[in-house]
Amino acid sequence: MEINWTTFTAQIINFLILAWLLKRFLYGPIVRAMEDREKKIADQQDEVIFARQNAEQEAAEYRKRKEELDHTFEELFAKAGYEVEQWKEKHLQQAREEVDQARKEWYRSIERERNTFLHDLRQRAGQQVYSMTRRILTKLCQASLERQIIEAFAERLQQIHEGKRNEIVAAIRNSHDRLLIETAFSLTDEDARKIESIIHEYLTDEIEIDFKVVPELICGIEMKTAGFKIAWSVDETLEELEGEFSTALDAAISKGRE
Amino acid sequence: MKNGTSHIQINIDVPLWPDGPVVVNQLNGTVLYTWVVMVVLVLVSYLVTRNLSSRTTLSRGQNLLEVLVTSLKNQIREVSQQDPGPYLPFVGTLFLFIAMSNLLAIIPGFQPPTASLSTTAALATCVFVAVPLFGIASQGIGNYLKQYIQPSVFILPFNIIGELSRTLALAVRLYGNMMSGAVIGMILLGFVPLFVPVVMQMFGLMTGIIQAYIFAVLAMVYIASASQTHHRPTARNQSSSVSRTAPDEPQHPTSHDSQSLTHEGDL
Repeated sequence: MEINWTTFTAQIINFLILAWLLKRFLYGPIVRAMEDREKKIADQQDEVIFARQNAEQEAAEYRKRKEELDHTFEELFAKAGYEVEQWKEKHLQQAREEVDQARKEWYRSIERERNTFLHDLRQRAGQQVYSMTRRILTKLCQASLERQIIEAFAERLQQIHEGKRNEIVAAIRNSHDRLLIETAFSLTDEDARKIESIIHEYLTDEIEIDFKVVPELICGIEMKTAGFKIAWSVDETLEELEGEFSTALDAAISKGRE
Repeated sequence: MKNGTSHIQINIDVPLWPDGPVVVNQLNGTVLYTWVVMVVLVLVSYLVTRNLSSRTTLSRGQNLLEVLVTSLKNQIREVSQQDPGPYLPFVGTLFLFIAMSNLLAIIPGFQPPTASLSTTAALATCVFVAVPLFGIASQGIGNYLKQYIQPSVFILPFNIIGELSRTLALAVRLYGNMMSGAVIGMILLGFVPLFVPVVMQMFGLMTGIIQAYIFAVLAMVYIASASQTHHRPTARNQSSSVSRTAPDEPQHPTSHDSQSLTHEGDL
């Protein structure tokens, strides 16, 4: 066991060369590769962390937006519901008003028809009563209805209170109007003279008298002058008849509604 | 075995071509096999590292070398408690050279250079020189030289003797282990030529790796002890995973060496 100094020296040189070569071809590249990989992994982790943070931020933002959208949707939905309710109420009210209006119109129409019917009824009933009374009086007692009406008119003139009569006469004299006698029937000359004599007798003879036939009076006679009117007719009777018909008709309508 | 069975001698320092030219006649097996080991190491390193990948998918060769380098760095870091970067080429090359030399001994006809006292002495001398160089580079020449007179100037001769003796121990230990393995293999080959030498060769592989590890770790311990005097308190504060030093280890580097040498003696 001895040392060969030449070999000893060569081995030192060999070792140093080997150390340099391995540093050049082994340690350096391997360490750099590992450091690069660690750096890449660290960068990737940083990127992942960054991306995750971004994703979490975006997720939070989207959650916030979704909540806002949900909130907005609820508000809009509530508003739409409110508006629909308002619209419904408005149109229901409008429909009710229209129905009420139509109903009132219908009631008015019914009322008009009723009044027209009652008026026609009154006219027809008056005409019939007049015609029947006239025939009955003629057949039973050879009396003229017109004459009886004139008599009734004369009786009414007679029954006027003295003060009232003077007031009427004064008014006639002051106004200088002509006195108008309206009858539902045509007067014979005799009847006209009789009326003239009655007026001259109970009021005044200083007035001109005109005669006019008005069929609507129905079995009646009216005197108009200087703002005064004196009449006799079957209106009261016909009004009672109309009232009874109206009552019966209203009862029938109410029964029909029920 | 040159002189029959009565005298077994393995000497690979004998020139291979004594009658060759001036330089070639000095070429012996130690240098030749050292070159073989160097070529193998450098060639493998070059072939693997010329196409390195920094991605997460690696070639098998790169994976192997990365495991190797990482293990070396971890061992150096554990021993020195310092950044392994500056020490890696030196200590790593010691380990790789010795380990590869011993591993290649499995090949018939290959004589490991580490079975030559010239080689082990050369490596031990490299360590002997590297220790003060790393120490001076780390803490300055004044602080480094001050270690030799700590705790007293009378310790100086013992420290110098310690430096020399551990270098000698390094050289002789490796040489003795490897040479003895080779000699035992030769002897057994003469007596029981079948099977037993194979077992001894396999055992020699393990011994070779262990010796490479011991040599490299001891070199690192020597270097670390020379370069970390001022860093010792800091190192002690760290959660050290060094298991070779006792918890109540003295702070003096020489004592540290003694502790390490004590373990070395166990090995």
